[in-house]
Amino acid sequence: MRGLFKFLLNRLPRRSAVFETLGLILLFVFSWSLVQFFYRFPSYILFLNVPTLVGVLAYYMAFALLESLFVLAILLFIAEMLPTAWYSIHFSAANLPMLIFLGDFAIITQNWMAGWYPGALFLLKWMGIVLIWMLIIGFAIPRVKLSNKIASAIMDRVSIMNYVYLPIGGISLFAVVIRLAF
Amino acid sequence: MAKMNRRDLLKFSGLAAVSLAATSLAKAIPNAEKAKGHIILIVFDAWSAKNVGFLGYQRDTMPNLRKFAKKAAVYHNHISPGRFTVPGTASLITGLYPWSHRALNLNGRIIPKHQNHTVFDLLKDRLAMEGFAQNVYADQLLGGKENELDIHLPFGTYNLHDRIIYDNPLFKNDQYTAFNAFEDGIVQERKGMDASLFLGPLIRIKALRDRIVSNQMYGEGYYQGLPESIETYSLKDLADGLIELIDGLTEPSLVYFHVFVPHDPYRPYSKYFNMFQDDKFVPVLNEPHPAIHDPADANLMNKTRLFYDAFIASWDSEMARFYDYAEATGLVNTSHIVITADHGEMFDRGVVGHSVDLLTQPLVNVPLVISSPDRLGSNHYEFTSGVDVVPTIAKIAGVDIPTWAEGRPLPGYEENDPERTIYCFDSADNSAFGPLKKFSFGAIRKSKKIVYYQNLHYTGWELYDLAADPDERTDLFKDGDALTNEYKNLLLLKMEEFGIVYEG
Repeated sequence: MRGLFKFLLNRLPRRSAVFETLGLILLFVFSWSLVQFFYRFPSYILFLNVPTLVGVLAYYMAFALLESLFVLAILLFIAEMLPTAWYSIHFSAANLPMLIFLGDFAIITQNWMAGWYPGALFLLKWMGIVLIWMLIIGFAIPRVKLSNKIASAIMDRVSIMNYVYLPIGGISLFAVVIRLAF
Repeated sequence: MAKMNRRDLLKFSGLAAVSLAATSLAKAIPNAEKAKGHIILIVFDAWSAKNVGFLGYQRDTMPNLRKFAKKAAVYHNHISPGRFTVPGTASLITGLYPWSHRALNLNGRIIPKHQNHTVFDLLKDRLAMEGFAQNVYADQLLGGKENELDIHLPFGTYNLHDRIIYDNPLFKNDQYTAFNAFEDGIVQERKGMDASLFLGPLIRIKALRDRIVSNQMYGEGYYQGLPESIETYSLKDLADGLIELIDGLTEPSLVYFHVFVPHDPYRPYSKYFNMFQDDKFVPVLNEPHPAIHDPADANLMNKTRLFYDAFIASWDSEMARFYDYAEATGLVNTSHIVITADHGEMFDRGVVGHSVDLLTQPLVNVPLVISSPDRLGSNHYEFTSGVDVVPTIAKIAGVDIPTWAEGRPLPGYEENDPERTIYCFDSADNSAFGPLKKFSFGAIRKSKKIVYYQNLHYTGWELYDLAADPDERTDLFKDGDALTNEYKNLLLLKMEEFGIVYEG
């Protein structure tokens, strides 16, 4: 059992790469959440008192934290499943273009669905196209020296988002738990 | 515990057998033995009196309710104080006008000062309390009454799927905040963007799949698929649910049962859509209202009206089973059944629906039918208000009319006051906490209706004689005219009295 655990641990990407990736995910997820919260803010202040308004924001931020950790968990799971040389070694540099692509597609999908539901086949087709492109750029970018260097530098800088959004998410999650308990 | 011997075992087995037999016998006892003396308040969402056959509409949309209403009191000029769910429902359950209860906005709630001034608070010591609302916004109003309601059925009780987050027991202590965060923000499943970047669209895709599956399984007979209140539901299940709930009552109860029908999306049975499509009825429409900047054309209004009428008829066909149940079991002889709406719906003046800040008759004139144990049918043409329901229920229940109530018992329960003024009010874009500066305000006295609009995009006065012109085709407002002055002054005085800020 211990051997299996050690085996799985060894297959994980470097801690710094995971930290950088989480920073990028937090940037996308929290930024989007905040944009949507402040879009609704003029309506919220018409009927929500301050404690409830703060409570709503706490839910937004707590959910953003959990969603970010969920996305990271998916990426780590893929890293475990794939050969180390394919993904784990280039975890940080590969995730930059893939997450940018995925984040853009998520925003486009949000736009499509802002009216009513688009056709199921339409969505499946585009999800397939996006997945293929993600795999191509995720594979290619880290293997070209220049693009790898640029991607790594960007991810290094983006990692600062951990120090901003992890505390916000953590405090919000704590606040939500308190609200639910009492 | 002492060791059981053979004799004890035989005694126990015998008792167990008798007990089982008694349970079976109890279930076989006819319904006449069940609890009596209920007050059942059934609310149909977005149900306009202007589209009900027995209230003067050319299409016979509700033949079953028409038959039931022959032995009930029918109020032909009943006015909802609000033109959408939150203020209309809040007025219905408090007996207060919107400027008092301050549930003005789409997600609004009754202010703390009046939180305990509801029909549930009034009767909680006399009757058991059961509540259900299939409209999420009405459900938030019930959510504030958890201490008074013995049973609060979750919003999605009769829906075919359950993805709603706020009514999960995890959020029991913080339901209103959870609703505003999730259902109206993070993963809202309806128009607009989700605040959840990745999971929101995935949940919407699941919702799409659920809709497809439920329509495949249960959508037969519907013209354009199953009706929806966020999630799909079937009209049959809803009517069955009402019957089961009433049938299961074990003590005299106040039941509040708020269904989403006939709120849009209008999803009628094909049978009724086809019937009305072939009837050649063409409504006479008014000119677009000046407050409407992008009016719908006549074709769209008439086509949507067709769907709406057929949806009402479809629901009426299911409610027939409830009316039959009420007659067959003697419920009508032992209980009061109140059937009304929180607000109306409009297909005229360039408007489809009720998401406009107008106070026209299709939006505020709602049906009210009250079946009492005396089974005497009556028709009342006096103007009555949604705020009158609470005082009337107080009278029915034999309690004092609450001092906070701004209505009075309905005609038939108390003598009508012909000098009385009733009101309708909308202030959805105004803060619930501050002075009322953006609003629509209407008053009806002696069949004349004066309305003043002071909104973001439109300011104006209107005056109608509803006795001679029930469809509001001729605006009588004319500065300097005696009648105009009389009613304008009436409204201005009331604005001052109720703290509404006139800036005209």
